[in-house]
Amino acid sequence: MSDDGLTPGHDFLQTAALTCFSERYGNPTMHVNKQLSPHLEWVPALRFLLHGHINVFVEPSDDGPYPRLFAMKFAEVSSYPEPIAIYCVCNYEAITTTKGRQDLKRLKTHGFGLVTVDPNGNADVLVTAIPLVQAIPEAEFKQYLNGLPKNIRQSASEAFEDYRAKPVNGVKTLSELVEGMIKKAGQDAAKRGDITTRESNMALANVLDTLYATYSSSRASIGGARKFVNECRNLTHHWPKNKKNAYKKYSDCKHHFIEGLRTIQAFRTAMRSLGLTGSLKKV
Amino acid sequence: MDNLMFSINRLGIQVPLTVYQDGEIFRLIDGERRWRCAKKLNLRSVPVLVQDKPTELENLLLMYNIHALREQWDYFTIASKLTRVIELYEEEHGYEPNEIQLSEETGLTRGQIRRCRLLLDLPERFKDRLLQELKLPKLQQKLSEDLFIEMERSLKTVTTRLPEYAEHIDDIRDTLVEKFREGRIPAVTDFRQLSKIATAVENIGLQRMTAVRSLDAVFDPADDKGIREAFSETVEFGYDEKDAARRLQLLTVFLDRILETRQVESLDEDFLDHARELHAKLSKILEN
Repeated sequence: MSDDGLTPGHDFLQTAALTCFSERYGNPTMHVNKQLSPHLEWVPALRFLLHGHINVFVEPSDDGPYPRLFAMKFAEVSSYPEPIAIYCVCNYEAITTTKGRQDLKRLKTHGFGLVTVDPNGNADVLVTAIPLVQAIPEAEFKQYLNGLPKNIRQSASEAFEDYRAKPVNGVKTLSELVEGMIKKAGQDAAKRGDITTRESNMALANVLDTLYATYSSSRASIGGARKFVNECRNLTHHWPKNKKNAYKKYSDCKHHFIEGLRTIQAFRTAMRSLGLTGSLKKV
Repeated sequence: MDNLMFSINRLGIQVPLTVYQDGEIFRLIDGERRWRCAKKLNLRSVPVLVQDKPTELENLLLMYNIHALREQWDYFTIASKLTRVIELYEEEHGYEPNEIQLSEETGLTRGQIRRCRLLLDLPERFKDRLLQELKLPKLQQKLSEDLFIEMERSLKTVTTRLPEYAEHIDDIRDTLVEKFREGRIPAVTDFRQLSKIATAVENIGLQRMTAVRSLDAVFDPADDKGIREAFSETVEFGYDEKDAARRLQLLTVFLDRILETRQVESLDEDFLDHARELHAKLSKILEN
């Protein structure tokens, strides 16, 4: 056992992971058993900086793909004011058992990443980790889809996939979905004669203004949709170099995404209460 | 370790670590796992009890006794420190400790000490291999301490009964380790059958040449034969026969007692059914 390892095989797994990440990310400076901050109660086995703003923690585990340490530190890491992405490193056989597969599913859901190591010491990134501040558990995401029709659920799931890979893209995809619902509401209103066809075919901001003026009882929901689209359709892809600002951006993206899901529910409910379909027109 | 870390994360370190001062630094006597958890959890301080500096022998014996009560070290670690304990004991007392004294001092059982000695007597290259293997994650460890302990025990029996194998013992070890690695010897307990082949000459009257031929095949790297096959081809029936004879003997004693105490009427129908079945089969065998 190594000086700092917690389980047998710690060094073997750590060395394999170090080689793997060095090759994958072009030899970033690797910190071995070095704290990120005295205020964070976790000293990862390996740590490096990715894209100048994400701290990546790597922790070998001989107890399977979801060590208890991850569950213990989830809240603390999520609220630490810098983006932190976390990888577990375990041997490949550990994910072939029933418990291993269950743990792997939980690991993915919670936003952690996984590196598996074969008996020859070759490591492979099986699941890519995302900064925990960005992570939205799948169960929470699915709660927001309750009661929505299939086409909206599908589009929201695509946005969620985008969000996990690139949070800004995910928020933008979701704002397009909301735009589609607004356009559809305009068409429905024109079909019913509440607004003119010309008004329903105008730019999105104008459609919103018309709907806002026409349906005074649903102004809160229509105003919410307008605010969300205004804020999120033109998010910049540029990432601040400063880790604290990067944390804020990830955190903002997460809040935007959740706000978008709430907006979809609220807007649909409001439109249906007005007798419109509350459905989606693809844009 | 996970549980300990969980407990320390929630409640802190409840039992202080034990240390002694060595110049400018403190050296750990007890609490290595708590210390590792504390480092992983980035704790800024840990509670400790500072003791007087122990002698090297006191320190080692303390380690053994602590581990006898808690999570035991692996045998290889125990074995590697045992040599030093013996040396230091000899320096202090003027004589080498016997197995009983070692057991009393270290808290290890005599069986554990014997198993350690089997590992200590291994050639260095096998010790190195074992050490490398112990560094791998548990699921990837193929060559365990148990393998070497079982193998050495059986080879000791083989070379005692058939001394001609002693001069090739290292080649034999290589072959057996390789066959184990390849799965031709599927379990470490198979080595017990190797001992049984060697002792079959005395125990069940197997011809010496038959035992040697069978062992030669197992010890030949070019031959695919594993221990189980060799055992079943040569001595399994003999041992089963011996075992059955012992059971028949016990049955005969029981039947004598029934006849002597005139308890035939007390036998239940179940027993009588089995007895009739046995009678029929014995008659068939004895007719031949």
